[in-house]
Amino acid sequence: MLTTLAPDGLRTLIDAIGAPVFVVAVEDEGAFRFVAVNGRLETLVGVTDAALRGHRIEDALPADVAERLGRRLADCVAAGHAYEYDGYIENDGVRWLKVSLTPLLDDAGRVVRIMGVPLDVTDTRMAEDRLLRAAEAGGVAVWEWTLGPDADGGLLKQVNLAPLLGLSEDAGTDAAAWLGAMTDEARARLTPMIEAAIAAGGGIVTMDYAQPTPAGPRHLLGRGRVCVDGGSVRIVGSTVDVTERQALTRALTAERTIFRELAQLSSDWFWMTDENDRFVPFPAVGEGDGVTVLQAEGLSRRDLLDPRLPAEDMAEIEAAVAARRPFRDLVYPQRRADGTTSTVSISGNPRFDEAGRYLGYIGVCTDITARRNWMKLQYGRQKMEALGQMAGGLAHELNNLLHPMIAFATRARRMVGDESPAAPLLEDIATSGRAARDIVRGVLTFSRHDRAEQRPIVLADAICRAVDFAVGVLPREARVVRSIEPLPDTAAVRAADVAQVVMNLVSNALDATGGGGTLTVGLRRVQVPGDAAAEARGLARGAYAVLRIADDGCGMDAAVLGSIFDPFFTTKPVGEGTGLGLSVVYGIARGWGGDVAVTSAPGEGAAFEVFVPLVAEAASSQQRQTRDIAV
Amino acid sequence: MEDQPLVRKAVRGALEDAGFGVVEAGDGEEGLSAARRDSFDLAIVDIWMPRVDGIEFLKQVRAIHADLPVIVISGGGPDAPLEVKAHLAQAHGAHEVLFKPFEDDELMAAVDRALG
Repeated sequence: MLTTLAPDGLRTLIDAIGAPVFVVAVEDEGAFRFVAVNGRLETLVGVTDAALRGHRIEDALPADVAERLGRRLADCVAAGHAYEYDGYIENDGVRWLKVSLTPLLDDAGRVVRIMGVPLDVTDTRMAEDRLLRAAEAGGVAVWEWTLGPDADGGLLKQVNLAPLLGLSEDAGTDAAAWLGAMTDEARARLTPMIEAAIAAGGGIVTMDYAQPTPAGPRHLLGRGRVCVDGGSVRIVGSTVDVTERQALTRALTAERTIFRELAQLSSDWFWMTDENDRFVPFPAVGEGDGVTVLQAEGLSRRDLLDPRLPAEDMAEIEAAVAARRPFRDLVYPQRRADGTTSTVSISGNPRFDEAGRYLGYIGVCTDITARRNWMKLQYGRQKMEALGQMAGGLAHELNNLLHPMIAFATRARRMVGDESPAAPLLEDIATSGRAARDIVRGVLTFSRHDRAEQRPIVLADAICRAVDFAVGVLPREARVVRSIEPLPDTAAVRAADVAQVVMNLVSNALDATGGGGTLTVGLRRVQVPGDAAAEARGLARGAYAVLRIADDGCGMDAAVLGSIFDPFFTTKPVGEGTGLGLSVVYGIARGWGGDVAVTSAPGEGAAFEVFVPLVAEAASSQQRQTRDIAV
Repeated sequence: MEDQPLVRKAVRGALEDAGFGVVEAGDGEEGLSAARRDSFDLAIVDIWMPRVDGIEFLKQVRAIHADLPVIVISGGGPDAPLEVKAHLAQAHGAHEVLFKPFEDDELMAAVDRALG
């Protein structure tokens, strides 16, 4: 009807429409003549209705406007369907227009008239523009494409997209160009996402991808909304260059990996405290990374201190923390979660934020318990060896002096006869000399380190006989519990030395229990590994018999334990015992190529363990052969 | 042979009381010289002596006097454990080892064993 309606009727019709509307007739020469306009068009175009109606466009409108309109009308005729475009007109400033043209067809299907509705979208457009400029300033690309099977993939608008994609400004940036600029991999990822969104009737599509550009590869993050509007599909969105951010993330990840690996390799623990000097979880790494972290959340360092042991550098640690100073290699006894104690060496640095506020400490912690124990052992061995050396030298000198003393006193006693008043004096001199001789002999036994060849004897038998003898001969009564395994193994030891060792240990144990206590004597076989702990004790790898003599007496503290094997060390009152008993045990055990160790605590009795190297079956016959040849 | 004069005197005394003739030497070298000059029935030798010690004497005296019985006396030493030296002594043909300080009757029993 619009096609055939007379101009007046048309006018009435379009007057009712709220937007500016015009209708042009398509003339044979490709010219266009205004047939009807409504009132609102005059405001927009600045030309009166009368000036427009009935005139060709080139006569009614300014030349450039007419030219632009004419081209669009011609496109509409050529397209044969509704057509929308962005236009503008200058009328007291630039007005931005969104013009939709609808062709009106006759029965034959020819376009005879076109109805045009120009909408003033200046405000919207200006707002849009401001948004786009802002995005451009922020390095963001903003874009809008038509998509879908009926669309031409035309770019509706874009800002900043070409440089982001590495395309020149005048390159076409329709959807095809945009997709074409992507790598195959990115395109293959994006296409199904967009199709899914279209199928779903709309939705957000996000993708980060690598984009090759002439300036080198960049990493882009794009986010768009697919809008399905009846038959038309658009995608609107923005793209940001995240290359720097990516590089930063990668560098951060790499650094963190390095840190985690170093932390795993390190046998130290990491710790961190807050501004109240209480432990907090350590960030960045944890148990799952194979890194040891101190489990002490909420506790202060003083809570970890084991009060049973000397505090060592604890005061210095607390002073440093109070002064917010860094500290290095300070030692204190730390209570472990299982109740045992380890000696640790800690280092720490204070942390501050940008404002200079104290945040707490960060640091490392090394368990030096094993190292300390090893050093103690080494020190002990060296001390014993030094004592042995000195004792040996001293003994030699004394022996040379004691010989004439005893010999001449004995001769002189023979010479003076029984009636002489000198007789008892001379006897006393000789007796005293012999007592000195025994002491020196005891000291020499302590310092003995020989491995004199000795036919192997069955150790268990020798020990049983020695225990029976010791318990029977010594004065005090006590309960003796035996758990001596009947080991068939032999050891290259003298039965007399076994007896001496057993006698001295049993005597020591009976002294500790003071009568009425329980003595345990045990013998078992152990395999000593060739590890650092065994080496520190001077024990070669192999099979050993362990003679254990334990008592439930008063026990010994750490200070006594440190000196227990020293010659002449005794806790007994003066005149009772020489303090040589245990040093002799030590000397004999080491002479065998074994060792003696003691464990004790005040009130908890004591247990002595003597390690005796056993003769391996194959070696015993070999030993006999060697003896024959060495002579 | 003994570098400590008092020990020499004590041993000498015990031997003379038993009727032996005694020649003293202060170290192994003097002892070897004496062995070259005269013949002896027995040598009593300390291990640790300056210049030529007991072990050296043992090695060298065999060239002069093939089966001279030797009793070694020892006081222990600062540089080697007691029994290693004693063992060595026996390995080189010493009849017996006595450890100072020993009683006179111990010495005489050893002398009897060495001579008999």
